[in-house]
Amino acid sequence: MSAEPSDGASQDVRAAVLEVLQTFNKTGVTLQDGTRFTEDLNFDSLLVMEFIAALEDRLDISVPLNVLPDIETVGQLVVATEQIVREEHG
Amino acid sequence: MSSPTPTNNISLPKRLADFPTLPEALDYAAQGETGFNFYTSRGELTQVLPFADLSAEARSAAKNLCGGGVVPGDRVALLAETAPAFLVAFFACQYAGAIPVPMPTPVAFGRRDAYVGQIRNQITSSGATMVITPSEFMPFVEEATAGLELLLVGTLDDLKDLPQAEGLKAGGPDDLCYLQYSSGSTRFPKGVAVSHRNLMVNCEAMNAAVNVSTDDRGVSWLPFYHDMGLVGFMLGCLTSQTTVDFLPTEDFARRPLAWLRIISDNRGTMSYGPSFGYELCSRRFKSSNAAAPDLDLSSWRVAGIGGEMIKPQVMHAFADVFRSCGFADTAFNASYGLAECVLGVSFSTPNNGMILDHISKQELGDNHRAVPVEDDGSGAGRTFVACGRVIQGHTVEIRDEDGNVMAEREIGRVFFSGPSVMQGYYGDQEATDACIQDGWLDTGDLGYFKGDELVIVGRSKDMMIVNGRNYWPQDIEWTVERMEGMRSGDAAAFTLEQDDGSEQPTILVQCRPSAADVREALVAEVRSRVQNQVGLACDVILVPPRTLPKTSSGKLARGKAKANFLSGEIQPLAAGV
Repeated sequence: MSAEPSDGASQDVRAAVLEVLQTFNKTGVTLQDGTRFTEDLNFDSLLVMEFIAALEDRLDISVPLNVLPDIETVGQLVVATEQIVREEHG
Repeated sequence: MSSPTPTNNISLPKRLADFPTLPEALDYAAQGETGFNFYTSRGELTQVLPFADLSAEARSAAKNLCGGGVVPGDRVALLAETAPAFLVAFFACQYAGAIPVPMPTPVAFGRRDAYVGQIRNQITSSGATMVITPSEFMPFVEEATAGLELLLVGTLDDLKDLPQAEGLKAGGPDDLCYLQYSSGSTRFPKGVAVSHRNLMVNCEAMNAAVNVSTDDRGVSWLPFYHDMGLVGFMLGCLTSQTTVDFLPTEDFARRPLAWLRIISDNRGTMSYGPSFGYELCSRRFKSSNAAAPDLDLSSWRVAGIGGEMIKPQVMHAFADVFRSCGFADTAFNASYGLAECVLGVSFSTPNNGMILDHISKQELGDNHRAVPVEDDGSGAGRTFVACGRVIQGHTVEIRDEDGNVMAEREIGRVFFSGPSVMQGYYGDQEATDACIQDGWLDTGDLGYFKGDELVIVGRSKDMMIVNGRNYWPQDIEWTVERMEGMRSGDAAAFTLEQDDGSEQPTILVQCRPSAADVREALVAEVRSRVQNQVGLACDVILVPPRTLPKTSSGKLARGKAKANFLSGEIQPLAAGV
């Protein structure tokens, strides 16, 4: 899975994801599509949930648990979030 | 949405788990108005499941199980989401005489393969003939069951589409009631097999230990695939017709304060968690910058703590934050238990708060004795939380290496006997024989008695013996975890056997910084602190974050950490890169 070229609405989602993620970026790596949550950002399961809560608040969405096991990188999260936003906000 | 189920039944008299079997307990509860309610982290009530509805739906689904070919004694694996569908499937198994096997849901980014492998191992180890899952997890379950011959892999709705067969035959008191996979490694899982009689006596004893009454209302965020969630707040409350408000674990992890909000709004009286659940709440409240929590926790009479070594500092910090909301320190109730004994082994006396015991580290290490010392801040002592008195009808003995029963304040292995001891590990006689002998279960834990209070000091297999002296890995790990920037679970201490037969104390430390000088300083700091505070010179080895394994209940899997390090699965970080 990789981030597809985006239209205007998904540019907003991408920006929102990166903005929220930056507040959880304790390792200081530059956030790119290939940045990995566990290896590069040192996310543990508690931090994952804290981050998801912040993302949900920011975009007014609900992120289902079943998307998590397939998300390893920032790019994959952006794509998954875009899809959730489309489903929930049309 | 309709209203949640009430705290009190209108006329049905309270019965505290004095039923021969679980289906009979549900049939009785179904005559009243109480039941289970499901909330989201935003405090919305999403589903209400009175025991009457649960019973009717489960009975109907049980006929589908039979119609689908499930026979009494068959195992049925259930993905244990915190939702009515799981409970309907669980109790359908009960009415059909089948044995439900709750399995975990995924909770982290990535690691799909590990998760699928874990549930596949549980399905094959239990020999399940059917797997029921919410539709959203179907892709994982399909992958996990590839190539297996099963009667059905589907959702509760798929089950309901099967033909119904009459003639339900529920299990008797000595038949198995459920299997629980919470101990043992994920690669070689051990399913704790519990009979109806085991379950009922433990629920009855737990109800008695915390004085459950008609005014009690449970609130829980603990997962149904863990013993504290499954038995403590689902089965334990159902068998005493007690209403419970559930918050899914993942919702709690996102917004932990939602837990306290539900207690406040619904006047909850009983709720449990491991220390870290309380820690999460006080941490999240502090980071919210709110002046004072807008909550009323005065109804909360049993704030149970269990599931890991209890950290008194964490509990004090929680009380400090929430005392202004009416939270009473006396509500803290430390307990000890394990799935092999259904759940509860010992409970503190309600309304007494935590009882601390500050004992000499020297005596603990040298003579296996718990000798009280003044807590003068010198570091010569260590504080333990007493876990209360052994439940009624059961016995605990503290034994030495040769099996002799030890006196009060002597530290030894904790053995448990009584009608709550599990039937065994499912299909694994060797593992069963290794821990149950003559009706006595070897808990693998170390403890002592302080009067009639049981105090747990650690796991015996973890004990470190260096130059003839005992050290406690928890001590070393705790020392490291308290350093700035470190978290619970960031350190694993053990000994490595050397060629000359001696044992080298070693500590693995999860390290986030990548700068060489920072890493070098960290190694030096850890070494000197452990030397100072524990009195042991350790090899300090930095490892990447998230490499130290945990058990399903979130405890450090210390033995596995050592094994993974020896096998090369955990690779050390260079001290400076």
